[in-house]
Amino acid sequence: MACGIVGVVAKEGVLRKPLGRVIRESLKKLEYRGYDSVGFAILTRDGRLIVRKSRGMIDNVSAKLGFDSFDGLVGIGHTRWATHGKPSDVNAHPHVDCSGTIAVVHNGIIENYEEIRAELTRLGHRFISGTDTEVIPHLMEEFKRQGANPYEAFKKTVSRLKGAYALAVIDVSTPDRIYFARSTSPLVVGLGNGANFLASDIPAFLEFTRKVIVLRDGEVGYVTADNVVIEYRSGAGSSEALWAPINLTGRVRVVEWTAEMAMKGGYPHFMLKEIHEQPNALASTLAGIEDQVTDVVKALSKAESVVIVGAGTSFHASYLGSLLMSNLARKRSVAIISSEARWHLRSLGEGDAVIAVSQSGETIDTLLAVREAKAAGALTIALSNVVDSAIPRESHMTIYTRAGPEIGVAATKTFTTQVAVLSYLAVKVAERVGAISAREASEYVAALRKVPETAATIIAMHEAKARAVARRMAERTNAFYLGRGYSLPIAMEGALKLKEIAYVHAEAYPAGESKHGPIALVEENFPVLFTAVGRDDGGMIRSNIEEMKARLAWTLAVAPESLKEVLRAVDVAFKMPDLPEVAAVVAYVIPYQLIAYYTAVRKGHDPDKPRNLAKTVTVV
Amino acid sequence: MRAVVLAGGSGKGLMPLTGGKPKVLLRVCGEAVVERVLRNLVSIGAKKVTLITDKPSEFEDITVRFGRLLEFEVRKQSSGGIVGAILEAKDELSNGALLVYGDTLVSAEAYEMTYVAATEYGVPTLMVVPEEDVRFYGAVFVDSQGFIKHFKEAPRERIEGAYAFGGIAVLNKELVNLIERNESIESAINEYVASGNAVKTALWSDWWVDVGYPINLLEAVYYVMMGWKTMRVASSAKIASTAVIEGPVVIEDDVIIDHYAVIRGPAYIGRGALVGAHTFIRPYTDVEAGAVVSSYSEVVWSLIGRGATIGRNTFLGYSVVGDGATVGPGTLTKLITKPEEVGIKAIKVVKRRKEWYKIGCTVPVGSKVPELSVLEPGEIVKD
Repeated sequence: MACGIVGVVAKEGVLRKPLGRVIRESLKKLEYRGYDSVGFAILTRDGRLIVRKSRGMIDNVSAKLGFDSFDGLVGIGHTRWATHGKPSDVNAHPHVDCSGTIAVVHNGIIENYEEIRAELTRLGHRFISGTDTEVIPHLMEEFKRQGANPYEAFKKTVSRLKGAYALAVIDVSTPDRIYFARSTSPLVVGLGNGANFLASDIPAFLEFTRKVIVLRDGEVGYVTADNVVIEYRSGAGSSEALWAPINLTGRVRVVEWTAEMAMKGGYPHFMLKEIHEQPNALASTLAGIEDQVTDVVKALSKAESVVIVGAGTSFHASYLGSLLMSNLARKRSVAIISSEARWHLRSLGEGDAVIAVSQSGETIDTLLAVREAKAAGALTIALSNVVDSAIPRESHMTIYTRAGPEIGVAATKTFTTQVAVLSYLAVKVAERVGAISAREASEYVAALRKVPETAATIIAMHEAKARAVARRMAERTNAFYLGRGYSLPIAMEGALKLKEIAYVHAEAYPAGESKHGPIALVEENFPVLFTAVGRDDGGMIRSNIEEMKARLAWTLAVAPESLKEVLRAVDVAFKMPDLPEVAAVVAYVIPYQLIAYYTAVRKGHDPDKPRNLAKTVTVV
Repeated sequence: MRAVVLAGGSGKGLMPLTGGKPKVLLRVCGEAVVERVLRNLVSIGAKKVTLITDKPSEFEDITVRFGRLLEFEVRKQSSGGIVGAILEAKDELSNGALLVYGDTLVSAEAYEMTYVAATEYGVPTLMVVPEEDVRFYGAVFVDSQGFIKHFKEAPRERIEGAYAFGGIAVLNKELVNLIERNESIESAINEYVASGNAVKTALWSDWWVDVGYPINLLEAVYYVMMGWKTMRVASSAKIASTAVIEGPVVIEDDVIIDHYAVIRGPAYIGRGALVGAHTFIRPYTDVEAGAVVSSYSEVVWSLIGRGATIGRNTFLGYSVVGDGATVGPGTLTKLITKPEEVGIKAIKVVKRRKEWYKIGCTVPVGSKVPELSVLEPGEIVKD
């Protein structure tokens, strides 16, 4: 995902609070961009450069390192969301040069950092982190050593960088300014009264000013407390002559909207934004998955049984995980709702493994289940989206989804990324224990690797249809979601989404069980949504559809294109691409997310803030 | 912020109702479509609006009213079409003013969302809407990051996987220059994107109406009234003691509601309109100023234009009656249709657990429907 950077430069007495606190509060507003490590650099009034950074969330780190107690007139800050490589104290930003006089925060990726790093190492520079960013202060130091003044050195440095970056740099020798550069990654300048700001996004400084300049790709410059200089590189190479100053008239905008609107980035709600972020979230999660799961796969392969616990949406992911473990990996596996776990976990012992699934890593019921499982002697594995949260801390092993922060209360991208991880785990365990061949395993992995792209296609192909379905769903008060096998947890997730944000009572049932009771409720126009993940479901699901149609239900289906007879039989068909089950379980829920979202909007409810619900449940 | 409102065009599909006047001046619940657009712009803090039209004189009234709220400029469009209108506002649009099609009704939040996204990303931005049938709008193909891959203006066929262009955008200088050079928005956007530039989309999910046909006016009436929560009756309205008014109903000054009339909201009765004795006004009915609905009539989900007259004993449903038109007594509108078979657009209604498609007729401005007429679904009455 993204990181967030900020920079503040002020005249004496303008900010009315310590600079450390201003930076902390600005970073807090960028927390939606990431929050696994955080740091700042401040130039004190006596000319010292102070750098404090650590892995962890902003509130915890700033309390630990006492952000609020540091003061000065120039400072930069960074909040990180690691996509590759571990979040750690040393990898956290800012990064400094050998002499500790230049500090850099960076959002983006420097593609040619290895080459620059090798060159600088030869020249005697010492690197201490594993990040691409660290080359920037050292390169600037090198150009300064060769005789360039700091600003020239900075521009020469930027000219050498390839890739995406938003940079903010402070140098002890020019204590009145922050240098900046933008290429691809977002960066905006805030123009205050006696103070100027830099940030990845406008909300960071809305407390101080509403006057902004959105920087464009290739722009470089610096801000002082009362001035902004922006230049544009008009040609290739690093020669000074190629830089042309930018005329700032007409570039200054006055922002009249709220911070929240800015963070939604072109969507009316966070939930819709997050549904659309799924291709990216899945790609990030799958990108670093091998390294993350190696030890977990070994441990699970040896385990006698695998219990997966989760609450709410995470339980549905757990349920899919346990079905995959049982059917694909032939591993005895069961999914249990976290709050019910203690009635089940006491029989576990050494040799058993428990996977605890929690987006926030703080869900209290799941945390208690982890403790219970540990007490019983089982191996515990956390699957979470938030680095260093409680459940990962207390578990023996941890896997992280890289979905990025999820703000909407209804889980969307965190569900699909959880399922992707569990699916990948099941394939790997199946391969290791010999339940599937290496060839099958690599086919499945290849299908999973394509899921981000598939998810994007599904969203584009079905969003308008989901919106049309929602118009009618908004008038209904009940719905059934039916499915068999792998389809059942997807149906359960679909029903939960409709319940929690659209306030339509929805019940998920095994399709084969619907005759044993629920069908009594079905009458004309009653919505019944069928899910079919696999090809084998066809015959059976088909007869369930006929039963419902005979009662004049309004039938809908999410099914692969090859299941023509199912898609033809229903009133509304969501035709999904044909996928192996390991990949279908990840992607087929998307139409249900969209239906729930659009139904909520149609009914006039705010899908981001459903009544009576909290994002993270930390009370039993 | 600054905005440009395109208010040209009388709209082929609405010609019977506009009589050649700009279609953005058609009224919904007492207010012209373009006024709703302007009010939205004021509410999100627009400081200057440039309105582009081929008939500036028609907008004098609006200029006076909005001139007090913001800097308001009306420019006459010298060449035709949307491209001509965009070029007329070249200066504003090159500087990142919000471009709004004046015939598009949507809540102010959609404007704000689009403008914010354009500022945040620093690139041109188009608002898009997930519509199943994009033929009437433009088809926008979007990548997984929300950027435009390809744009197609007025596609002839149904396209899956494309979003409809929602008539709200922020351009920039390069894009406006390309529009000028190519004389086409489609090829300008495609060329701009093909040469490696980014155009963002802002995705709108709530209601949105592009007023192009009479049925869109009925949709607009529905959505505007959907937001009403309370009843408002002007003190100068005369309401008979036996009349029944329920639900969110707006009754303007000098309205007369006669004995035993029933008005079931949401409904709008414009200034000086008359609702006769025993007449039944059903939900989503908009009776504009000075119109008369004579006694013993029934009206459901219809728009009755300014000064129009509905004769006694008439049943009018899902219909739009133009300003000053007369519908003779005892007229019936037939409603139920099969849109796919007859090739007309209709409104889907679920009643008593069954789905129906309904649409009434369009009565052109100033025309006369003879008494005792039976009007077919989708019929445009000929004078």
